Amino acid sequence: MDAAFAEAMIALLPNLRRYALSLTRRADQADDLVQQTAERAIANAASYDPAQRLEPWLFRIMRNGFIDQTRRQRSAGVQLDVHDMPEALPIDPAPALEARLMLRSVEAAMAELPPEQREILHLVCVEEMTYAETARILNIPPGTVMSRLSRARLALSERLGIR
Amino acid sequence: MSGGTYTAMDGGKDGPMQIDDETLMALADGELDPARAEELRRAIAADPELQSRLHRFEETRRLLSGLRRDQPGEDPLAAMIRASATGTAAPVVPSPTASHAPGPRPVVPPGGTPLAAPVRAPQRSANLNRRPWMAAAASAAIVAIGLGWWEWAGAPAPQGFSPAELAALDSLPSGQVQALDDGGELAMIASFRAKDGALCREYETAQRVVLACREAGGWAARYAAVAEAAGQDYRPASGQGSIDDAIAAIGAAAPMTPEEEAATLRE
Repeated sequence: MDAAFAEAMIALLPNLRRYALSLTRRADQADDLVQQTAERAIANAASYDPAQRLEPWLFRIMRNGFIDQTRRQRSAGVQLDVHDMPEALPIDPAPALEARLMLRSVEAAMAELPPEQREILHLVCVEEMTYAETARILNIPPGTVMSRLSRARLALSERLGIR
Repeated sequence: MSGGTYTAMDGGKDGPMQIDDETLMALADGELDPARAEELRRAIAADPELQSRLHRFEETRRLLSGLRRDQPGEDPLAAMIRASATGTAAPVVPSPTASHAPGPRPVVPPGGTPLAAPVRAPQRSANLNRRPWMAAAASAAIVAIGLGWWEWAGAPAPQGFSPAELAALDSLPSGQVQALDDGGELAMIASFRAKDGALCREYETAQRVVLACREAGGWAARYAAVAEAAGQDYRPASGQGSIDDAIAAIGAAAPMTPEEEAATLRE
């Protein structure tokens, strides 16, 4: 791993933290997942193809790590939801109240969606992955990306009362 | 007009345009080529119903982009990453491809989870070895060579599951724990659908982690590894690789949801 690769990865840490929080919905687990992802990425830097964007490559490592972690969680104890812990969310300095309320309702609506839908919405609409990149991250065909994403978008718009 | 999903657009001025949701979404997401997007926008401009359907996709994207917030300041992991970059600048194992050029050996398989590399990875800086699984992943394949699983574990052969294990495979939902005859516990980890359609399940006991698939003749083990003393890491029973490789090998993607699993177990 060279210094340029390190800096490129550092620049993407905020994105990794967002995705980790979206996957785990727990601040402590998200931190662990980001660290694990960084370590795996460093260990496997040689297998990264510089012709590809780094972000989807990292997301894929993170997601596989998360699935692995989830499988191993037996009947985990009390799962604290990040939305019950407001301090776990990044706090904006002083956004307009209305915008903040809207953000809250988007977060709440996202939290109610099935994980499968929440995940694809996050990748495409928050992290701005293309459909092709999303297909690679999720290891599903592009056609499935579109059908799942459109169902998720409609479900979200329903919950937010967008007509 | 090319492209399967938009072929109904030449429907004339009388009827509404038949443009499906996925096409509208692709337009909202900038996934269409400019010519096609322009064509669609003209159709939508003349159709209020299409406008409101498009609006739902544009608006959800706009609102979700509000979640793209960064925390101020440098990330706490930045220093660790930088340190490891300088730490590997002079690799211990001679490797002309130590930079991120595509290496001759794929370390990340199609499934994406890093393999326990058959070739020892270049030394990492010390602060990365805090995690036991990192060391385990690097050395598992080497350790396993010549290590017979049977005498090591003293457990029943994988093809001959104990009655309690069979009962768990048949009915125990993932995430639940069941007592074993020897006083230990069996934790069902997850269920998968193999590429050939077979139901496969992963479980752990205090001694081992097993991937078993349901075949015509009953349950068959596809992978088994014994637990290290700490109970955290596993040594493969045979060959190389991890439970993840085994799961990748059966062609499974994500674990089944609880609903899928319950329906499959009832079959």
